[in-house]
Amino acid sequence: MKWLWSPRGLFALGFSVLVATNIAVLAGVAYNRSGTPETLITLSERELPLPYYRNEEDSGLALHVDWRVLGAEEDDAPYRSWGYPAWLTADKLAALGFQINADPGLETDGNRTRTPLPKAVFIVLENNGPAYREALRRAEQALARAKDRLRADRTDQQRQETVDKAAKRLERERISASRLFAVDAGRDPARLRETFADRARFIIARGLVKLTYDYGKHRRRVQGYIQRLSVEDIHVPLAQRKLLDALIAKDRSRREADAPPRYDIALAYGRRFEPWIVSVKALN
Amino acid sequence: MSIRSKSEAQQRADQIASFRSELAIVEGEQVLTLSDSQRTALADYHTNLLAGLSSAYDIDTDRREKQLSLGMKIASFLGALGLAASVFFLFYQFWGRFGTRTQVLILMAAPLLALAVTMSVSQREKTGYFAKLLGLVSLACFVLNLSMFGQIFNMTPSENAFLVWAVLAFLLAYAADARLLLAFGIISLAGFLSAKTGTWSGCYWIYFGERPENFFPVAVLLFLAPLIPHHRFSGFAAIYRVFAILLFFIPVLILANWGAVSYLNLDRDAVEAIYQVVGFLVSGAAIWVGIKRGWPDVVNTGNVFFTIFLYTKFYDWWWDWMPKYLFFLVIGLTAILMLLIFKRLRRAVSRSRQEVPA
Repeated sequence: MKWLWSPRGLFALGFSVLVATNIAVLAGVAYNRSGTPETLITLSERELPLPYYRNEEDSGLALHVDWRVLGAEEDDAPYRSWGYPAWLTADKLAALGFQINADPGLETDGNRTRTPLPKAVFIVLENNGPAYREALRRAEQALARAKDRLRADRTDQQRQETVDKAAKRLERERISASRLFAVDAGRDPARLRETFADRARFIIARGLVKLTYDYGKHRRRVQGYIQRLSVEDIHVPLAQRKLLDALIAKDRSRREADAPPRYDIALAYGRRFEPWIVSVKALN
Repeated sequence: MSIRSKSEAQQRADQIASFRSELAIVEGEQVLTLSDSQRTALADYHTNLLAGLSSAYDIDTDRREKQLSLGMKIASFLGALGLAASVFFLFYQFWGRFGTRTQVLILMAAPLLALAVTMSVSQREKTGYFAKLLGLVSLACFVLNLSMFGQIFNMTPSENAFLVWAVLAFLLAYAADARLLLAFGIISLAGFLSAKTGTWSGCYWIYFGERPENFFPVAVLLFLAPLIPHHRFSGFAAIYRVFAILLFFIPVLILANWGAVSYLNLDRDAVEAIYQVVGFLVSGAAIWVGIKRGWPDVVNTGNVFFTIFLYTKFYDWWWDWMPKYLFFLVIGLTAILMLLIFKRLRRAVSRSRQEVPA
């Protein structure tokens, strides 16, 4: 026992800590990737774009998962309701474990309504499904409305600009915007999977949800907000990098051009809901 | 007197140096005169003792050596930080060129190799400077090891990483008698325990800092840690106490001024009032305990926070309506009042010290 507390013993314990920790971490990785993946989905450059900026002193490459939500407002621009999905209501937040004050009042009421901290939950992401089609419909309607307004007064420069913007939005929505939408959240991934059974269309990922207050004129309204996914940057292993490195060398970012996607990525999520890239394929 | 550590050996050497200079003064003023044989015996005894301590613990036997040692400590500290940062940037520069297996092998081997070198150097070198430096590099390699595994395998971030980093930092700190590593261990442990306290209260661990009360349990734990004797390790007990006080008073200071972030389900003003009172009482108590137990670190830190709490309150009460010359006059007068209180306390302490032998 005395030897254990000597410098030699402490160093020996240090070696044990290093070895045991590495074994535990790698065992966790092996467990995550064992068996049939929880999700096996094909995403494109629209959902996993190349990074905007790369640090010259970091030779690694990670792709950011570009997920979206549909806000409550019909006329929302594609990213205006970012993080505030219409379905994340007070009832849903209560089901996720938040304590909801029935009458949050106003800050000036002296009614102390502390904003709760974010909670870790499971978030369902739908790829190229009804949520995306709804976003597309909203963009088409926005363009139709803008054109109607322009027809009433063709000399109005501002109305012409609105039409141009709406047309660009629709084009982006059709060609390059992400089709991956957060459509539900829950505390039990198994129950979510029962509801969203298609493993090639729905990802169940860990993420953070927050309760916020929308300050209206008279009262505060409870509003749910998806803060982030727990893993949003997905590492690209060397074996899968060839095509992506070639695209980076050719054109660092295609975002501005709103061009169609150039690659598809098969992405798997394992037993611990941690993702990995299975393959990268060029699109014609 | 048996000497068990470098800090005890250094303490003894300092004691001998003080004794020698005092003896020279006493003899100069002819209060005491040693015979030649006594002087020779004393000089031989001290010379042999210092030589023995120096060879066993590599201590500083005079002021010049002490100054050089300080320079070496600073160089070792800077070297350790530089090498640790270099390890990070070196890996980031090249890791993308390696396959996953090679990355894993490098990341696993680096801390093991660094630890083996640290162990070997600590056994060969008495001063411990290189062992401390390499100890920090080993810890940096381990931090890199786990954080890069997290990136490579897209793992969900976990507070448990802080626990294993803390464990390794503590082991290295005690093995190499390194205060810097102890500080890293304490910070990692504080991160882990505060995050755990946060998760027990229902929040996601990364947001533990948004409820400052999460730091209270770790502050208490760290304050109690030096109850286990730390004689063998230089300055460890003081480091534990200072971190404990910081981890208690900084959250109290935040809560005393921003009650909305508290766990207490009370009105914001009530929360702030509670923590203002707590701040004053506990900082006063820290000064008192520090004086009683002879812990200058606790006295000084308690003093700093008592002053901050006091001046924050003065600012809240008077800054807006008082003319500035009057506000700063009050600040100055309060400082003088505190000076007088400390003078009285000091006198009381020295009186009680004089009474003990009687």
